Amino acid sequence: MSYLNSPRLTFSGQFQADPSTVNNDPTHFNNVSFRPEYQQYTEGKNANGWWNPDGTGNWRFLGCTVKSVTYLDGTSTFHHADDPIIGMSIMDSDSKVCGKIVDLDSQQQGVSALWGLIVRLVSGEKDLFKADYEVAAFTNLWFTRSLDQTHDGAASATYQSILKNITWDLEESNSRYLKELFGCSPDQLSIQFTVDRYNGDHTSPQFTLGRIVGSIGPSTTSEPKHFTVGRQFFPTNSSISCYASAVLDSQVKCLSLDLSNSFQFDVDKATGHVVLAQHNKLILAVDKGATNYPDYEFLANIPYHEPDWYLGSSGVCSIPLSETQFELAEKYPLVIVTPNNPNDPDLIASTKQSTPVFQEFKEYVCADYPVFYLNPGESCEAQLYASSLGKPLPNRSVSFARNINALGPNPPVIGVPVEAIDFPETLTTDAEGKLSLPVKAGDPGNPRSYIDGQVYGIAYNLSNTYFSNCNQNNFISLLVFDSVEQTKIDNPTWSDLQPTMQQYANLYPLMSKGIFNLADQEVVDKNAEILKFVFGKEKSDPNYMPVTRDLSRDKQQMILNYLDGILSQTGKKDEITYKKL
Amino acid sequence: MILLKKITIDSIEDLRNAVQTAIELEHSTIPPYLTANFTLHNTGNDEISNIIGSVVGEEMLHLSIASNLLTAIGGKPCLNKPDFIPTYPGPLPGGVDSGLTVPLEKFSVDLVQNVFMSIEEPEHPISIKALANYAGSDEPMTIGQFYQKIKDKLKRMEEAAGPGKTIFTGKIEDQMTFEKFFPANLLFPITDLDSAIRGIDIIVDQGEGTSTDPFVNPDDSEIEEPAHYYRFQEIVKGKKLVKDPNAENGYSYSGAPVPLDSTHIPNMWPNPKMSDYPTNSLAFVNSKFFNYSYTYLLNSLHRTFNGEPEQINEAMGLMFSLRLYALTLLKTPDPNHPGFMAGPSFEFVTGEDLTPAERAKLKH
Repeated sequence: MSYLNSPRLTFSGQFQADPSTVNNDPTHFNNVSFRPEYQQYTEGKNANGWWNPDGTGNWRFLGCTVKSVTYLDGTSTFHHADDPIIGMSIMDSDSKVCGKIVDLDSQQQGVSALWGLIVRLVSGEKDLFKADYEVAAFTNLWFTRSLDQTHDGAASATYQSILKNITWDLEESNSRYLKELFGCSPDQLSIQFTVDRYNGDHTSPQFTLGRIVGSIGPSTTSEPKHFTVGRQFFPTNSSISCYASAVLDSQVKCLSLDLSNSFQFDVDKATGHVVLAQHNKLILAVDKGATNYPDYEFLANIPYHEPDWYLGSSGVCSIPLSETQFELAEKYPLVIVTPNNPNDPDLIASTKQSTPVFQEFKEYVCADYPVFYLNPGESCEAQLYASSLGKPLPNRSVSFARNINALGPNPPVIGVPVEAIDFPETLTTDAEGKLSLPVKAGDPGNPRSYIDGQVYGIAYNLSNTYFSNCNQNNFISLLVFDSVEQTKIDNPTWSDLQPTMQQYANLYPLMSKGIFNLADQEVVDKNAEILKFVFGKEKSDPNYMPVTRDLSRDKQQMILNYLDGILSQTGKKDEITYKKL
Repeated sequence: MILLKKITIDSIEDLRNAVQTAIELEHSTIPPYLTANFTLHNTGNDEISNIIGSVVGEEMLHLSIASNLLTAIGGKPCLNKPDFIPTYPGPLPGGVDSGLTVPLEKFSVDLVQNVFMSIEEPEHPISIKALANYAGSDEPMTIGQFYQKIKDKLKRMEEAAGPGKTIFTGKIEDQMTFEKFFPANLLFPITDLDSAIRGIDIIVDQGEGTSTDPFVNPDDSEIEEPAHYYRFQEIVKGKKLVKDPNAENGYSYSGAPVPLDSTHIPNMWPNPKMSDYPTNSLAFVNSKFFNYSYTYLLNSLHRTFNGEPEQINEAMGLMFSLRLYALTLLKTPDPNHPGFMAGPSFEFVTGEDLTPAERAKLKH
């Protein structure tokens, strides 16, 4: 079960993403060549610190409200009168700092993850539920979604994760939806959202804000958290559309099709409204033909042109199917087509004569969570799920290979030394179509000089097909940190810490200018207690320092040991911390 | 001198209400002090900023002591309701209407002299040149008299509780101590009359000093420092207060300089309100983020003092976050007042994320 199953709610509104962009250029990590203007906004041809050098790292929901619910029986409503949660707010924390958006690395900015995010369903002063969002990186990033925008404004991406540690307060709630949701998924929920139309113009009142549509639904622990095992649609033209996915719901005989990140948008010149750029009639069909000899059979129209479709249903279509159609959909690959003659009233015939817009790859393999941080000597296990038409694909070989094509920019050099990660070349799925890929990290030995560690990529595919048959966005990304000599960890001096602290001061100017200048030994020493506290926090805590979460185990220990040393020397409390509040 | 309305304490409920007022009063000084201090950021006025910052830190301590005291006597501190924050400009909580009007303004010597020193002014301030006598009046009360009254009532009610009984019925584990921040001799669980009196004495001594010594009793402070009133006077005089055997009362403002350079202090428009800004302005958006952070901070402190003391760690994070939004506001032009900057408004923003139409431009 996932957000694509019922009972599902949809929400939409805005989000804020406020990352510092000074570290977007990998060469800015070089303390020797760092210049003060790298902490300034882009000015004309001078990229400087890019578009948001004063970023906080904050990520939050803004003005998000519940737009629709779909009940267990498959019926939906968009009206508050039917279900009181429609119109309620989806919000983040109200009693701690907001979640943080963090790149894995300056040379892998395609998996920006959300850390420490809280998700609440709020009615007035009351939280109907409150939960922790499990750290997740976005995927399906494309840069040509909004035709009226450029750069990040034109981009779009999706986040899928789970909500855990849920506290419910349903005592006075008379929402049928919430009762059903709590009834079938009290411990864990599935959440997905698509973010786009981001504003990166620091002179605009909408700066750092963008549009968000999302869905929340049931979840079980036996399924992947960050993608849905189901039907995977690949765009036939990836410059005008992006991946879609769907599940067949046998309970209510329908296909739940997520098109939230699939189509382009533009501004209607007459009304100024943001509208779908795509106007074609779209038909859901099955392909009963053989390879290269398609035979499309009509299942249903895709109702994506209904008013408020995107913001109201978050781009998720529930398409009812007859018994016969359901059997066809279970048996054959699905396809979304546009009729060659859109005016042909005969849907069966026009489906036969049509052009595919999205095609399902019958066999599919995907890593649940493909982003890892490793220290020398540590291992991780990536969980992969293989499926055929949404059903588990047991006993199939999956191949793995180094692939750094999507990493960058250079310099510094990427992906070397190759020996610093070790993993098997092939593995076979179990009876449930699952396998676990172990990756063991060695010590990269500081190949990037001024950036700690190294980034690596691992591509995978079913051994009888190619990487291109996968959603390539989901390749495995790893950041493997360097080690530090044990003597330096045990007995650190300021000069051992200084390069790391200087880097944070350079790359996160809001912190260095607004609160603590970490490059200043006096400041660090005088705030040893509070710094020890934030540097020692769990990485998933939104107050964890550094906000960029790119501090190695060894350097973290070295810093903590240094701070302990300061505290034991002076025996004094911080002198100036509270003066900085 | 700030004057508070006379209060009557006849029951434990009255006493709890009075301590709740104390919490609100201690809190109410923080927004004006912080606002002035935010405007000193990176302006080359670290000496002044450190003085104001040290007072803010102690006001936070006082708020914590008062909250622990209320918990100790079986009350429930309330920090997350809209009227917990006073309206600026306006009187402080419990203050008489005709009294001092406290604004949110950028730093100026006038502000320190006319407002901050008035807030902290003891009933009988020691004239550093010559002892002057203020004619104390029976009502209304000074802050010192207010706390004295609470002390008297605590004593009387504890005595009246009878043998084997106590008014200190609250759960000790619900009280907040935070040794990373405040030493255990300043912030400690309040369990009985002695610890309650000790807590109040710290508040009064740090704020006002005693009638004979402008410096805080060494037992009530981590470092040797004058009470708030005299510390603010250092800013006005431009010099640190030091012991001076030649001076009439043994002290003079003849220590290290406390220099002021006003050149870079942002020209913040006084007493900003979020609803003053057009909703489609950067000032509005940043004001909203600031006020959400402030509201969340009060939520977090509320939880801290209502059975979840470990929430103080989250509150700390929000305090830093608040500062960053304030600094952003002070770099954002005020769309209504050319030549001026926006500023923090310290408003309680309840419920949802505003919009549509930013909830019709807020209620006020």
